[in-house]
Amino acid sequence: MFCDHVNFNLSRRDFFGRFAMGVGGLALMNLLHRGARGNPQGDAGAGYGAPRAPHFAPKDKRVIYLFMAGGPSQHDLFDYKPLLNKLNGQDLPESVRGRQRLTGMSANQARLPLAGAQFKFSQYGECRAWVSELMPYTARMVDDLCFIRSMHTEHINHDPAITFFQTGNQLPGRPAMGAWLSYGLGSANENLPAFVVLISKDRIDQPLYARLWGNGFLPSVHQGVQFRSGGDPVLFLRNPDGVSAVGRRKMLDRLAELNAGQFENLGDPEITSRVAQYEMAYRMQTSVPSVMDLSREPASTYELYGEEARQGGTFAANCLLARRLAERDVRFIQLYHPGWDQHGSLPKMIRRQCADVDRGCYALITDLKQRGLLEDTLVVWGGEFGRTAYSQGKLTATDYGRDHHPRCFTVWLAGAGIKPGYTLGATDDFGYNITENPVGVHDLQATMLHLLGLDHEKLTFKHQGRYFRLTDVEGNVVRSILS
Amino acid sequence: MDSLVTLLGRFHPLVVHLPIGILFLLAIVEVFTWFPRFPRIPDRVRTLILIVAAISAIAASAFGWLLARGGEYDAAILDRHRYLGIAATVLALGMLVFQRLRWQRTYTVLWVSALAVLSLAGHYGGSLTHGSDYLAFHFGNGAPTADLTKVTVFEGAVHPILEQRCFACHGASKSNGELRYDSWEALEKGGKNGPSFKAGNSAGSLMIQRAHLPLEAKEHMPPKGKPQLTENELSLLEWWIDSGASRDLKLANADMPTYITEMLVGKFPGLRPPVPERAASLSSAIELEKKLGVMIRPLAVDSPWFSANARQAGGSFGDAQLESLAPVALALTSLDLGETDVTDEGLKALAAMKNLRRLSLDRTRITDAGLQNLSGLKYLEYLNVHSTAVTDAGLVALKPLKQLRSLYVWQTKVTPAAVEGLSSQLVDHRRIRRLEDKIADLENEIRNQQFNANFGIRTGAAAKPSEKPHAGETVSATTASPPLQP
Repeated sequence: MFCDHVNFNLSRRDFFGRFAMGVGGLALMNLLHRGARGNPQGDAGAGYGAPRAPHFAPKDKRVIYLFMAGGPSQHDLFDYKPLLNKLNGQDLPESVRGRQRLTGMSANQARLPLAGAQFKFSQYGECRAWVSELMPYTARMVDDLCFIRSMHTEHINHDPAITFFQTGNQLPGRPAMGAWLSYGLGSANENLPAFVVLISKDRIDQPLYARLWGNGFLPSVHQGVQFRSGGDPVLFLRNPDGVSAVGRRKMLDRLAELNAGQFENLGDPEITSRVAQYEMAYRMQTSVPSVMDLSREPASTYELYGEEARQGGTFAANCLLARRLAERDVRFIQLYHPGWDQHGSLPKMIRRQCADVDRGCYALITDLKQRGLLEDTLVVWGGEFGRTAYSQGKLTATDYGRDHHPRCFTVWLAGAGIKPGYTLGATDDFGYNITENPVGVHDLQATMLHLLGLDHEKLTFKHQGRYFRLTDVEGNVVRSILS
Repeated sequence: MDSLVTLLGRFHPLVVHLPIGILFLLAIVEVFTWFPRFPRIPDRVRTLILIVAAISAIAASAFGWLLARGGEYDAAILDRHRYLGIAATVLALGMLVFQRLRWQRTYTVLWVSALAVLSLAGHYGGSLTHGSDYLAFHFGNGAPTADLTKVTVFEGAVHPILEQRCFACHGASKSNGELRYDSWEALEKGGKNGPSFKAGNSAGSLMIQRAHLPLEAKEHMPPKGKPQLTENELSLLEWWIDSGASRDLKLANADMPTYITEMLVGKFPGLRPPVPERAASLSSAIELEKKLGVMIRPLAVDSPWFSANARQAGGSFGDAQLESLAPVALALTSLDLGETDVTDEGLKALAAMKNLRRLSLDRTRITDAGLQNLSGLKYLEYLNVHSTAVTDAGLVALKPLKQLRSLYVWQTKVTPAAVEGLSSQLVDHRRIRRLEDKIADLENEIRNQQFNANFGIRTGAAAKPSEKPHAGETVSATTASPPLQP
């Protein structure tokens, strides 16, 4: 399957020379081997331990992606449209909708009544960005954020849309963005995975499959690892009862010898990949408990993140963990906060949802800032699509719902290389269509890679006879948001 | 009349090539006539050739004289060109005369010298139009590598500007306003309006004030119509005056902000620190990674610059380990020592890491004393000392770090007042203002590229949504990129 990778730059003798040094040597061999050909540009420093380096000097070393799964309503949060309040209850003009296809959920509605946000909007900060009353903490930090009001996607249902955002394609099976980064840049901390996933508990409405952080066709060392909030953070990492650490070490050493023999016979790089993962898991037996242990966080941490952060699995607790992982140089920290899919009872549900994330986001940015980490970290907030300007279901004085809307929605970014206090793009007065500077999903991905020093057109992997990219054959770096 | 003079003057570069071509061709033919099998040139043909050469040489000299009156040239080179050109004309006339007199020997001496003089005159002429480093540019580094410990800022940077922009009117040939800039004593003395500069105070210096006046103002210098000081040149003069207007300060000792270094580095490549060799750093880095267990990686695939991260090593990374980074010291631009076991004593090793731009020392045991070791890191942009024992006293050591832009002092005893004091030393507000002016100019330029069509307020049923004042009354077509938003 990976036949184009069997050409090693190291001789077999070299390999066993290293192997004789011990199992650590085998893991090292794996890194060397990957380094020798895994470098994004082909060679540059062959023989160097892991010369996986950026194409050009990066602005950011790591990403924290706050994914709002379900699709937050831009109308009720950031994209202020007073016209919707004015025309509340009137039909969406046919000319605005154009020939757009609607989901099965609202396509059968007799009418599509416009629904104005029931929340008060104000302008904040020096940049005078509009934020609704639902996000009081986010409102405080608008001068650090860059809003893109003109995001759009091709997909109208959750799974393809979220898969598109995470992997650059709507169909399952491609590597996730974090896996691409791990492949392109290598790990900056050998004791932790380069790609870690944290999911808020209790809010699942749409499923989040593990393939969203999968490695696809990339070598499996690059897959994301989910850290769970309760019980063991990483499943099957702990030694089983009755197995001592010494015993585990011996077992791994013997296993590595067997694997080395197998590798000699077959030359399949997945074998070295596997050994590297065993070794990583062994190191994670100490590194993961230390990163998950919040007992030494001072009281001031909880003053910032809120008492909620003491409960594992809340968004605030995951933000705190994200900061701790960032401090340990994990490259891609993917948070998922599901529960934004408000087809009905939106006013009530979104209030709860915002209360979940608002303070955590603010605390995370503030904390990264005071620790000097925001100067080499990129933070991204956003969902897989937006929501409609019209109400799905019945519009009443106090209630409405909103259907999926891929044509425009808002995301924000913060961190090094991003213009702070800036807004890109605009939508029409109905918040239905983009009027300027549209940004597609591949554009966002290209921009994120650019900030990490990677040229999205050069970061490729050959699989089944063709070269694949995260951005497929599209994507332009959105230079106007770069500082 | 003046415009006619200018017009005729501009014929000089055209006409001047006639005598050059004719005389060179004649010389070549004369050489060939030394061979017995080559026919001799009939005398009348030679005479005709020399007449045409002499007339065109006289015309070229005359046009050249007119062109020189424009005065936009380097005076010294212009003089050489002028007199050599006239000499060549005289030689051409001489050739004509002695050819008619059939003084064969003298004629030969004359044409050989005419060739030499023409070559030299031509070279200086080229230097006038293309700049004196035009020829040498593609050999080596342009200018000979100067010894920065010998050349002063005044000689190397300031004098050439004055020579190019001011000498024509304030020099040997003219001294308008009783002001001469062509010697240090005269420059220091000033002219009838007083001294040209006040050391340490560019805003109060007459030459700078004059340069900042609007171009139309009578007092603006250099006068309208003459080549103006570029923005870089003006910045350089201002910086020189503000830093004391010293005559003796050597380039090597000057404490230049990077934008000044960037202006001078073309002429003095030595001002930029030498780029360490990537291959050597790479092999040291691999050794050190193995030995110390810290990541030392190039910033990018082809970059000679490296970053080192000792944070993961934590307590096992101390002063001894920091010292062992010496082989890559000059290649490091980013060093993370956060949460390690380094101490004030160990930070002495940082003095060798002269190219550092980012340094993290957070959550270490360092104190104010340790920061003393940073004062030579003149490229440092980012310093993180959060959660350390650093106090206000330690910031004093950071004053020489002109490039410092981010300082992290969370959970230290540093006070906002001390940071305020430090930042007022580090931030060049005048330069910020100048850049803001530039942005305003560019924004104007962008606006001038845009097109607006105004339809007034639309009426009728279709206009319902546009009752809001800003909805859809104007159509803008932008031919350039959109205006910069604040």
